[in-house]
Amino acid sequence: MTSLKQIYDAVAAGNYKDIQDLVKKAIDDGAGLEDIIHKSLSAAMIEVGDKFGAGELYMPDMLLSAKAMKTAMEYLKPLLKGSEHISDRGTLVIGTVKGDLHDIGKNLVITMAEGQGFKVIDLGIDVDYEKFVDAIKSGKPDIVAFSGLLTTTLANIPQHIKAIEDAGLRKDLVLAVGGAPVTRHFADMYGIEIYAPDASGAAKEFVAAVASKKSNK
Amino acid sequence: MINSVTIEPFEGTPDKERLLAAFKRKPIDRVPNFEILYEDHHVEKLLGRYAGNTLSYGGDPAKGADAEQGRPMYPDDYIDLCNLIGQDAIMFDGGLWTPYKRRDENGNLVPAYNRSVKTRTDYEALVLDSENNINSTVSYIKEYKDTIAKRNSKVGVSAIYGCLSQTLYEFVVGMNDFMMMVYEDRELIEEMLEASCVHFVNMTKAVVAAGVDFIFPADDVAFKTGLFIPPKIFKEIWIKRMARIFEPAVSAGIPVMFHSDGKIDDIVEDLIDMGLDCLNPLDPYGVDYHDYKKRYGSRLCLSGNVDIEFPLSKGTPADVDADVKEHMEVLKPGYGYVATVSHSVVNYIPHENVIAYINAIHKYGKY
Repeated sequence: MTSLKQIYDAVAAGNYKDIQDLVKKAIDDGAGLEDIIHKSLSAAMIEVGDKFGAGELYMPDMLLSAKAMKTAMEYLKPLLKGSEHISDRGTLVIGTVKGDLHDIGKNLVITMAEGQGFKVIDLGIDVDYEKFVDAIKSGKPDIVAFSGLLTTTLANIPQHIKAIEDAGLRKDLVLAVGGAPVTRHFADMYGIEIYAPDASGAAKEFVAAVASKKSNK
Repeated sequence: MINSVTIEPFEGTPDKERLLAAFKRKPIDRVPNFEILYEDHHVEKLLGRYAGNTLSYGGDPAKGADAEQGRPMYPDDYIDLCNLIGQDAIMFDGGLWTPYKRRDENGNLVPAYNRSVKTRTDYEALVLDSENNINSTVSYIKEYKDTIAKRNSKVGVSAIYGCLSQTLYEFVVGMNDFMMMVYEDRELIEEMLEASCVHFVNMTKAVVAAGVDFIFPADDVAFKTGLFIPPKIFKEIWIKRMARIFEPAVSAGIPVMFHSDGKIDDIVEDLIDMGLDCLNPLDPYGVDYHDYKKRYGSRLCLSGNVDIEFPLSKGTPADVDADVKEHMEVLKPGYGYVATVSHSVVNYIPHENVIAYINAIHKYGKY
């Protein structure tokens, strides 16, 4: 009998090759989709993210775990149609702000957000104000995240926010910011709801923000 | 009152012997100031004329641009800059990136820096344009040395090169695929690293033969939390190869300076064993310089850590002055300190802070 623990362990170990078989067997053995997603896949990714943040795991570990999670979700998605599950957690638009070419941190946040079931619209690097606005209009995200490594390019963030406000898109949108020089204070200065010092923390904040949004509706 | 308008007079004209003595933690008259890169706006303001950036005239090698688009800063400009700011050596881009190329539709060799190598077949289509790269670097060393001799200057010359893994993850393969391939296709990763390594070993041999005063390999291998790759694997695939890149210099008695961003605690002892003299840039987001001074100060020269974000970009000249003073109080005693910023003197740093930074080094750096 395949247990949720085996699926959890497979994700934690980055075993994407066996994950679909394990998921299929667990379902055949009576495991619920909700439990597989929450108690195995998502929980394992949280552990991996935390260990990565603590320096106990490394980039290859985290990326292979994310690949295992994605591979499992590819199998589960057709089975989830019509119900609201973790795969419908929400939509995240993310990009490295105008003038900044760094993307390692942004890509890690994407990995962790996808691991928590977010649909991610990655705008890439050096993203202009208009591109964020266009992506919000077309993608209707719950969260928009700005990434940046340079203080000077982070200084462009008020203009990014103003462009979103001018387009009438700020209401109901949760904003997030991250990057090595970013602090909670910086986020507060510009009314940005979410700040986290690492990718794992960011994904947890995204989950909490979307849950809070839904409960307030 | 902090002078943030003009470089104040300082004692000790630029002299490579000061920098080389600092590398060996020997007594000197003042802490050397030395930067990998001053970007072009600062150079222009300092010199009063456009002269490119200190790594390149007409290109931007730090961003992976094709080095053929530019050339190193002209020697007279660089020597003038050293005289003005008190820097003891010229540092130019000798080829940061492994010169992997591919043939375009017209059969011309173009840089293969579009992260498109995902399989062995992709890799085998690449051409390593090693000889041209090395010959070009050697010719620029000669050009610098000739001008230094003509002007009776005492500044030294070095070249930065050696992005053994960064070329692959940043430009050739892409970060995510490179990292997963470390686990899943280690043979191919090692093959690519080995080709890079052989190129950079030949570069070390060539630049040492051409008379550089020290070598400066660089390869960003860590985040603020630690190495990208598990230390055990990293040591197996990277340490032994970087050691080979150092070796021709170490055996010739030429000092070695090495650069990696991030928290590299796991490999500092290895670097010391490999013959490292000076470690740069002590990333302020991953390295506690107080701790590094205690742990490695008797065995290594330390260079860097003055944060280009704060105080340099966002602080005042007074903040810059105070931060340099703090660094001096910890890192200067016992010699073996080279004052350097945490990354590069980029254009977005206010120029008055750059002036305050240089003046503070000269003010607090006297022995």
